[in-house]
Amino acid sequence: MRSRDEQDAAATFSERYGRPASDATRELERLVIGGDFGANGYTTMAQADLIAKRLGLRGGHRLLDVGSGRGWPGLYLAKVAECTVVLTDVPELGLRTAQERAAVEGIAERSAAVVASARRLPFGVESFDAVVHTDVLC
Amino acid sequence: MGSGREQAELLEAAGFVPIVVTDVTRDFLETARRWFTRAWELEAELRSTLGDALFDEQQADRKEMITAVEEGLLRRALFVGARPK
Repeated sequence: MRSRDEQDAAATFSERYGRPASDATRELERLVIGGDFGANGYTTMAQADLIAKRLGLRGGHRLLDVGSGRGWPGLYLAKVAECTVVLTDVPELGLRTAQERAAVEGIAERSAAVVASARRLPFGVESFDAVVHTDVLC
Repeated sequence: MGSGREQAELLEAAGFVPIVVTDVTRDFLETARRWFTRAWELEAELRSTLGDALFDEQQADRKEMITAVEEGLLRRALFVGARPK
């Protein structure tokens, strides 16, 4: 069962994720953080590159992105590091958008999305080689 | 936001060691300022897409974020830790 905070967050972000991207929102995102995955946070592409380097991500690794929204930065990290990524978040709509983006990026077979709270992740111990968690308050 | 030390201690308590902390507050402030200024440059298009209420809410949030960082109330850091097998 979701907590009240999770229910509120899901409602707020589902409403936002339901708004389609436009040329203006994509341009704004590219100008600010360097990508256009539908992010609205403060993790720039340069910081995502730093994360990939610090985590030593590479092909064959399994990455978990907790609180991925529409897929930033998990999908980008999976693409540049050629690893597998599992995206998790509470609002389903953002994850559906992320899956569409994964197909566009040509990494659909290396990505999966799971609706789940960070408080109760449905994965076994040592399921992943790395975990990333950005711009999320739990 | 708590101190970086508090965050690192939480990660250590969860079994992640060593914890490498990189302060990215300066980047955070620059990014927040870019969201704010660039959004005003694209105001008409963004209001059309987002609606007035969401556009104004986002800009207010960004302004608040910028002020909080400038006043030293908010910081941002990258924490990297490994969990020994």
